[in-house]
Amino acid sequence: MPPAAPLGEFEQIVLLAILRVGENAYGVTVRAEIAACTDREPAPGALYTTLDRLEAKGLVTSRLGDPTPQRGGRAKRFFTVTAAGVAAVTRAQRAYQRLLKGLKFPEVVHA
Amino acid sequence: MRNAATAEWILSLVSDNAASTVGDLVEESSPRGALWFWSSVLRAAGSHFWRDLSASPWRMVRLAFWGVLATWYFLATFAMPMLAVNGVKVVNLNSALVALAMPMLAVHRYWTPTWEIPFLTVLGCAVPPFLAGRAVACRSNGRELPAAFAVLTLKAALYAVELRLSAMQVRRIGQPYPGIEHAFAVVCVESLFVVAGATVYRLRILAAREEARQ
Repeated sequence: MPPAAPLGEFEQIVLLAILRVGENAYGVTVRAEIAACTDREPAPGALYTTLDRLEAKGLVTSRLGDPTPQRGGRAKRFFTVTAAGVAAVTRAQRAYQRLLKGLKFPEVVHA
Repeated sequence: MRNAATAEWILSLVSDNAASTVGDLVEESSPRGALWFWSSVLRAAGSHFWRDLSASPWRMVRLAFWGVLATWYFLATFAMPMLAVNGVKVVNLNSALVALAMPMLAVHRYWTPTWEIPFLTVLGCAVPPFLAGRAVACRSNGRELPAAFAVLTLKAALYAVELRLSAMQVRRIGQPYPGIEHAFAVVCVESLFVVAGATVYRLRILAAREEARQ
């Protein structure tokens, strides 16, 4: 099997946000989770194109929920991270951890 | 104004999940207002458009060349009967080729002014580009508008080259040529109809999908 293409930083953020939100992961909640955890609000366009790309790569799947009145009768698109997605994000995060291992940052004060 | 149906229509031209995306933006826009909603819709449409355009650049280049060839093919099939009927003064092989490939130039150079000129100009700028836009959309595999944009970019570049060559020829033989205003007008009108052809095809596909889902 060919090695999977490496994930970009924002792709990792989106995958982790979906995993954190769980079953209720759709555009609004994923954006809110990213904003809460990273202190930066992703542009809607960037988020939706990334979600589409992750789905095309087979790292997430999506399903449509029921239409709701506060959304003008439009259905939510719920996302779930696949096993391949979990493996890819874990691999990427482990790579970061290996890079950090042994480094000391005396000027950084941990909260 | 937060016209979600219009926003959904705009997004559906470049995204297959326009309804759920607009639903999210409607839900989020309640405390943020209409300006945020519309800027988000346009930025999302722009992102999708750019993603489709840049995802496979060589495919877009191929589609652009194919679209230009399709435009010339439709122009030729459209112009040939008109040229035959109206008896264009084609003086040599070079002129004949120009007349077939670029009838707009041929109109200016070789035709005696008759009522057909504005008629043919309008039809020539509308029908072949529309058909070419639709044809290139058929081959674009769900990337209709970016493919149309690629065709327009290549056509604009070719017009620029053609204009430059025409200017050189004018200096050489002293004949008048349409000029940059004419080329700009032709590019604008053709662009409109190429995009219209691609949009009509996209809307048909979406309608067929919706019908199949129901």
